[in-house]
Amino acid sequence: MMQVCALKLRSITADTVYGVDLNFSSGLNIVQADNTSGKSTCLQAIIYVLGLERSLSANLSVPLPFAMRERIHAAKDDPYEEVLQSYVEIEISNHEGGRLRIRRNIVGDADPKLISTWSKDEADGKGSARAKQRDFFVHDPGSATRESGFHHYLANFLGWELPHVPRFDGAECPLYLETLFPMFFVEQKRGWSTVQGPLPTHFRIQDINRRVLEFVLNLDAGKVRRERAELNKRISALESDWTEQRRALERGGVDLIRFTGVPKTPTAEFSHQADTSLEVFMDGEWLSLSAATKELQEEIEELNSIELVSTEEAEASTQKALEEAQLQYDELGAMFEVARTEFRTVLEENRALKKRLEVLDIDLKRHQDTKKLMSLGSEVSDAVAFESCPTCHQHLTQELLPPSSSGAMALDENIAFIKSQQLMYKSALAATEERLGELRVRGRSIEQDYKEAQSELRSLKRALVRPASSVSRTTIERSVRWQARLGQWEDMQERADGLVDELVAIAKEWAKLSSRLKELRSGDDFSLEDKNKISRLQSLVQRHLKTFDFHSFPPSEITLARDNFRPQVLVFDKDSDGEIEKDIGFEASASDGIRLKWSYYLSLLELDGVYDTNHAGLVVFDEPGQQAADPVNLTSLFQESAKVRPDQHQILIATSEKERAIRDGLGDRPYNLVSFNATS
Amino acid sequence: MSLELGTDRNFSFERKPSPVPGDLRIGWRLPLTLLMLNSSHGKKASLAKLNLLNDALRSEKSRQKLGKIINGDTAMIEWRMRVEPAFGRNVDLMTGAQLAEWRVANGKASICLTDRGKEFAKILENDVDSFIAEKTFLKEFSKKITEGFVTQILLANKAPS
Repeated sequence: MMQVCALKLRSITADTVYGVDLNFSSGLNIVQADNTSGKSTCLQAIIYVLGLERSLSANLSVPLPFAMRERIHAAKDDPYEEVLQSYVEIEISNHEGGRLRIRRNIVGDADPKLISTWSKDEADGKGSARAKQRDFFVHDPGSATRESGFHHYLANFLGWELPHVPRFDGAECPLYLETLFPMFFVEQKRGWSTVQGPLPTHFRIQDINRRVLEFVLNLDAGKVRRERAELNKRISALESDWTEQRRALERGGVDLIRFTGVPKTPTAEFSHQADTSLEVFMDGEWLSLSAATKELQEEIEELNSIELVSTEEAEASTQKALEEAQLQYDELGAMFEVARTEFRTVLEENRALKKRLEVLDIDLKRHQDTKKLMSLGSEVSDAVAFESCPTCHQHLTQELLPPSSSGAMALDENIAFIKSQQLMYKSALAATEERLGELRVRGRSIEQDYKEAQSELRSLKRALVRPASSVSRTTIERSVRWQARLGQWEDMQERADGLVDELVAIAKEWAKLSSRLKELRSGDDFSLEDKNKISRLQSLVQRHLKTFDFHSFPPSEITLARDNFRPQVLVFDKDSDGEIEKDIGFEASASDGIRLKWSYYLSLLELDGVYDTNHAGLVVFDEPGQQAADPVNLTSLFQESAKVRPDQHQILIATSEKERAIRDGLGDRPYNLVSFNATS
Repeated sequence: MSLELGTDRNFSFERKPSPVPGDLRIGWRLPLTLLMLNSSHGKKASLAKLNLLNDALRSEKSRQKLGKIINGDTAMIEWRMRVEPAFGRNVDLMTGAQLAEWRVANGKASICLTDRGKEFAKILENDVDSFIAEKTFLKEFSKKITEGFVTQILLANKAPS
């Protein structure tokens, strides 16, 4: 909530200090003065001092007249004096009773981009009137987002959390304050031309009317949409995390181990029960790690239980072991060779598939480009993608191919054909990828076995040439080797367990977000509260229209569009023989356009008293009667405005209506009349 | 094994259409040629230049290669000039559809966009969703692919110009 408590304009020349001081109360304030006396200047000064001039136009020219910028004179015929310094100062209050004095220079030493503030924080309890002074900047990048930006500060002061909205270039930006204020502040020159705003388009925000109204009305719809975008972002981040972890599990993370039971993408099932298993390649087959570990442990125990014998005694058995070892060594060598050949074949296949898919992608792109052209209209497609010869009109069945016996596929059919091929090749590719992974593990484990067999062979050979009485070391060496392998497996299990835990965590988070997303997808974005708000706003608008004597259409036929909340009217359409919704903009008379604007803005304000909205609680009308073609009844506007809740809301109206007429029209209704003479 | 066929049955064979590579579609190649001409000086180009562009635009690799040659990072001799029969048919169709016409100036023949061709080229140029890679290449390099450059490439290949 924002209320303007006081406004001060100063224009200082070498001889004189010109200026005006206005005090406003809550509720209805009418600023009354003759034309060209400076009413509009005062209201424009509010926009200026708040750094909101870009809500009027893209450039940064000061929206204030000469008198504040260059030269000024006391009376019409007096000579002009040069302005040496000028500034605007405003005092505003918020819903918590906090007060803020804001000053911005126009001419003078200080940079006009600098805004000085003095805040009186009454929440500190001490009641000390020590004002805290802070300086801010406006119109520099980050003014709305950074701590030191004035609009960031102002939004905080007003209790607003500005949402981020998508722009046409795909980037996001905050819903700038400049885009919101035209919904509270009707400026004299362009303000009366449309029902909403006009909202500045130069920020290039998509669907700006909808976004602004969603924020002002504090609808859940906008939040739902933002939450959905956020969810999608986080889900895709989780999915890429998953892929990465999974790859770590398959490749570099854990050697010599095959992993089963981890799906390609996170699933809800996995988050509940991670049914994974580790397998190792041992003795020519895949065994689960636990079984393999057990087997190996038993063998080690068996080895350890063998009594150590001397070389001489062991000669016969060593000789036999040597033969066996030699055999195994040869066999492993052959197996390794086989695995290597197979790996090479699959790799070759994998590469060919990848290449083929690449070609298919390009081909599909080309077909889609052609198809896109068809959507540009028949004129274009007939001209550049014809099917019969432009000269002899024979059907061009071959496209650009050399003549052959069969005709060419139609475009759509061809696209489907390419897509089906892609599908096939992709699944083939995935199969080879999997096979490659497996072969890689198998190859590595065979290689390890091979190396072990090699060292076993060596140790056996050495054992045979050792002195006859020394203890045979073959058994000990083998035991040591196997234990090392066991240790390695344990490490792997541990690492894999860690990775699986992480995967489960990812899957849990993923399942949670996905279910939330699914919840959001069902139904439209409007919550029940949203719908109530909109229908209440609609009935408020209708009621005001009736009071203001709107007569282009029966007020009861005016509804609000669901996409941008603009008033529309149901009219009978001859073509479709039914009622269609039409924007009121061009249909109503000029004065009815003004009445509609009054109704809309007052209704938005009034809605704030009933529901929780983000309305500033302030409405400013600059010359609400001036733009009408036929005289509109300002008295009814004043009367309606006087009904505003003074505890929450404030309305400022600048008018050149005669003071007497205002007094007579309002009678004893509460209002604050501000008459002034600008040059004092 | 015996194969029994009922005599009361009639067989009919239907020719299935065969898939066409996307770059052999009229609807792809012709618009692309319009774009080539549209990005050329005076909306006209020699057949040699069109062939060169046609060749270059067909894949990312060839686009990069020509880009390198234009930037002087690769020797001109590296470029293999090819003439594609389908492209000839495409040019015939384009002139037949009166999107472009042959012109002779200074004893040299060139293909020039007609007003109709220019109109459609403009529509294609303004459509942001199609021919993205191709348009990007043309935008970057078309200014540098002059007729003189084409002649140099041809000479480097020792082809008669």
